[in-house]
Formats: sequence, C-alpha cells, structure tokens
Amino acid sequence: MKPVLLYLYIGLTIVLISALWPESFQLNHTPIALWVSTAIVTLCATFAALLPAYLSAAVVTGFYHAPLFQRCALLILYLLAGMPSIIIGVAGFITFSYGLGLGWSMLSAILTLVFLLAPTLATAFIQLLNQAHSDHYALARGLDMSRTYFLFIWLPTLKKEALVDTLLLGWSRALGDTAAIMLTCGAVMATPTSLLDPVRLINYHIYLLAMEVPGGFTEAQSIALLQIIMIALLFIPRWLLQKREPCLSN
Amino acid sequence: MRLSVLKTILKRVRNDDWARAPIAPMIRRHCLRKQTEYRSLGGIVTLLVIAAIALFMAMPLIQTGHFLIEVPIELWWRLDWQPDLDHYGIGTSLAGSTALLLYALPPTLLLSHLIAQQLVETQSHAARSTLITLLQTWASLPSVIIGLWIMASLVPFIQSHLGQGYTLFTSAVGLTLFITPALTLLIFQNYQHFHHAFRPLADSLEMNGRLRLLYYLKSYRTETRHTLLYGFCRLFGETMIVLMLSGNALNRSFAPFESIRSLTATIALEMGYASQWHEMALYALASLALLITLIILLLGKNSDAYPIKSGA
Repeated sequence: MKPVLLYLYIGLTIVLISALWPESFQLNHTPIALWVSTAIVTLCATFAALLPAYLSAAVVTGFYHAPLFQRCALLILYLLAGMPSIIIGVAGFITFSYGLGLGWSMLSAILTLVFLLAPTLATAFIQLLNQAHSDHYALARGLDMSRTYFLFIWLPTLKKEALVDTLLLGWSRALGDTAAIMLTCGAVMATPTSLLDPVRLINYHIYLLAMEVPGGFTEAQSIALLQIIMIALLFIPRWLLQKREPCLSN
Repeated sequence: MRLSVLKTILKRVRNDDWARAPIAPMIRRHCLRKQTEYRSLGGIVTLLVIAAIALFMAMPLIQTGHFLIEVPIELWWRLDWQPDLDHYGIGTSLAGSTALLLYALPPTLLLSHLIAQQLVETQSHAARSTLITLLQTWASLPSVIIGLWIMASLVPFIQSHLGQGYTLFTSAVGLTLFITPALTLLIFQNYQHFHHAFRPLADSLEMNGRLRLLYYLKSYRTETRHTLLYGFCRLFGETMIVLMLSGNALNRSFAPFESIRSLTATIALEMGYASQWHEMALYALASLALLITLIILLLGKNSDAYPIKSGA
C-alpha cells in the first residue's frame, strides 16, 4: 500500500508552518516571565500527578490486592479520561480558586492540571505495569523483592526510557491544555514570586493576542511557531531511535 | 525466599521438568503470604485518590443544586440565553454542541480509521515511523495553535467568498484536524492487533482495503464503540477551537455557514465576568456537560477496555 496519507500529513505540516510563519518575528508583548511561569506550572503539575497516577495504575494492574478499589479506580480513571477539560477547569475553579480560597494562582492551576493529567499518565503506567507484571513480577517476588522495592526502585531503574516517555507525554498534554487552566491561573503577565501569584500561561496568551489584542496576530503566530518547534524537538529524537530499532507491526 | 523453594526450583530445572510443572504457581503461593501486609496501604491510597477525584468532580453539581432549586424551571429549560434578563435557556448552546458533533464526528472517525489502516498496512518501516512521529506531534499541538492556523488560512478564504468566516463549518474543520491524530493513534493499536490476527484470512479471501476495514469494524465492535465514545467526548468537550472559530453567535442554526455557540464555549466565554445567578447558570451548564459525558461514558463502559486520553 502506498503511503498516500503520509504525504498528506507531510503536506499538512508544511501548510501549517507556512500559514503560521509570521511576516516579521515579534515577541514584544511576550516577556520571559510567561515562558518561566508556563514551565513552572506544567512541570510541577506533571511531577505532582506522577505519584497518584502510578499508584492508581499499580492498583488497577493488581499489584495491590484490593478488588473493590481496583474496580473503582478503573471506573474513576475511565470517567476522568473522557471528561472535557473545561469541566475539569470549572471544577478546579470551584474547588481550589473559590472553595479553598487560593484565587487565580499558579497553585490552583497546578492542582487542576493534576486531575487532568492523572488519567493520561495512569493509562501509560497501566501499559508499563501490565507488561512488568507479566514479565518480571513473579520472578522478582521469588527473589524476595518487596512490592515497594519492585515498584519504586527496581522498575523505574529498568524502564527509564518508558518513564521518560510518559513524563514527556504528560508534559506535552499539560503544555497543550488551555481551557482548564484559563479559569484557574489568571492572566497577569508579571514574574511570579510565589505559588499563590496569578500568572498567564503561554497558550492563553496566544489566544488573547489572536482574539482580543488589536494587531496581536503576528505575535501570536511567532509564539505558535516557536511552540511547534519545541514540540517537534520532543518527538524527533524518539523518531530517530525508532528508525534504528524497527519494532512495530509487519 | 525460602531455601526449600529455591532448592525445589533448582531440582526441577535440573530434571528439565519446566513444561509439566511450571514454577510460577509455586512462587505465587510463596508470594501470597506477603500480600496481606500491602492490602491496607493499597486500599487506603486508592480510597483517598477515589474520594478526592469524586469530590472534585461533584463540585459543579453541588454548586448547581442551589440554582436549580431557586430558579424556576421555565427560566432555564428554554431556548434563549440572556443572563441579563434572567433567561438561562440551555437550548441554544446545546444545539450548537450537537451541530458541531454532527458535522465533525463522521469525518473524524472516517479519516482516523483510514489513516490507522494505512499506518498498519504500509510495508515501509520508515514511512510508518515518520507518520507515527508526525501524528504524535500533531496530537500534542495545543488547540489554540490549530485554531490560529484555521484563522490564518481557511477563515479569510471563506470570508472572501461567503462574507462570514467564523462558522460551524470552520470550527468543524478545526476540530476534525485537531482530534484525528489522537484518535488515529488509538485506533492504530486495535487495528494492529486485528492485522496480526486476521490478515492471512483476509488475504486468502482476497479482501481489498475497504472490505478489510469493514471486517475490522464488524469484528472489533467493542473497540469501535470505544473509539466512537472517545471521539464524542473529545469533540463535545473541546473548547478553544470552537471559541476561536465558531463566531460565538447565539444561533440555533444547523446551517454550515452560520455562526454558532457551543456549550463549552459559553462557559469559557462568560465565566470571567459572570456573577451571582449568571455564574450559577454557567455551573449548571458545566454540570449538564458533565452529566452528558458521564451518561455517554457509562453507556459504553466495558471493564476490559480503557480509552486513552492522548496519543500515547
């Protein structure tokens, strides 16, 4: 079969980049604080979501024997995975910004993002732990390795690449989301001094530049282009490794 | 590990006794003794996580209770959304979301299945890995970037021909382009399994590509249903593309070149300045979206399957 759709996607990528190529590259209204606060919020959320997601995945895959909780965890993760991000944003706004009195702040955005990222990370961990359960677990237990040691020391050491992949997946999802955090983190462009400061994240900034700032479209294009390059840089090394190690179908 | 267990294992290895008496059950029996000590830890952690998530998701519903009790049903179960006049009709935004689903879901599903089929069946490893990387990159693109792209390319084109560029059609195109890569990567895993299991049979029956795809849809019904639900949830819940491309006019039109406003776009657009009953009405809209998604997900629930949120 000829890969016609591959050419279609290559063409689409070229069209996307050429359409977003700005007439003049502008970053006048985008201070470095925006990039810093985006990095802090997304990275903190990804790392904060790691442990609950990993533990939930361990329960789902049967490492902890609690059948009722296993079913509950599976159902909750399944429902949360299908939930629209704006709903998670509204829930985050009511719970953290309004309920806990955190207001529009980085902390509210981080906590909201944790709920958004947990099912994504848990799904990736479920795949990893399922494989580990069938391949290594019985032997590890036979060697008197404790469950905690197996889950938190042995497996992360053995599956470093898979963990890094999962982290990248979570981070790219956190970077890509706008709806959930636009309701919780505010829109202030100043450099944050604490986690309780309101900030504006880069995607919301792109939206505001494109939709509400007169003449801001060119700058929105410039930032979007930079972001595409950053995301592509996350995937290109994996592509090069894949080319060296064929492991897919056929 | 107990020395006796190890000795028995070694004895069986020496006797080449693996096939008749596998050692796994023996090791498992040995391990069962240690399971109880972790039961409480796993249970407590899971209980806490479940309780936190359930409470978190219930917050919009709790906030909405007061609104539903205080505001008469005729003020919100209607078609006009005019918060200034205390008319909180959910009909307009619900119609907008429905129209978007009708226009975007069929092409998204069709394209995703076609691309996934080609991804699996292509002979060239280089082409496959390149397409997977491209799809992963596309699946990770923020929705605002797709919105910006459509604004820069398709909207001016439609505007010059029809006068109105921000329409149901442009937002449906944006949504299709945004959701297709993630959906393709989800279908890819299932189709790969189908390919390995049924390709020899399909070849012996001289099935062409179209028939193979139809056979996949028929034989992998559960996976297809999950793909459909996943596509539904992503399209129904997507906010930024609709906010940027649909024009956000309070129309109840299903015409492709009319401006519309979806349920999620209404929440995102008005939450920033809403107060009192208006804010409560937006919580009610969020609760409605939550309930619709919950019902759809629970209808398609299957304990063996679990939809993947992103292009993992």
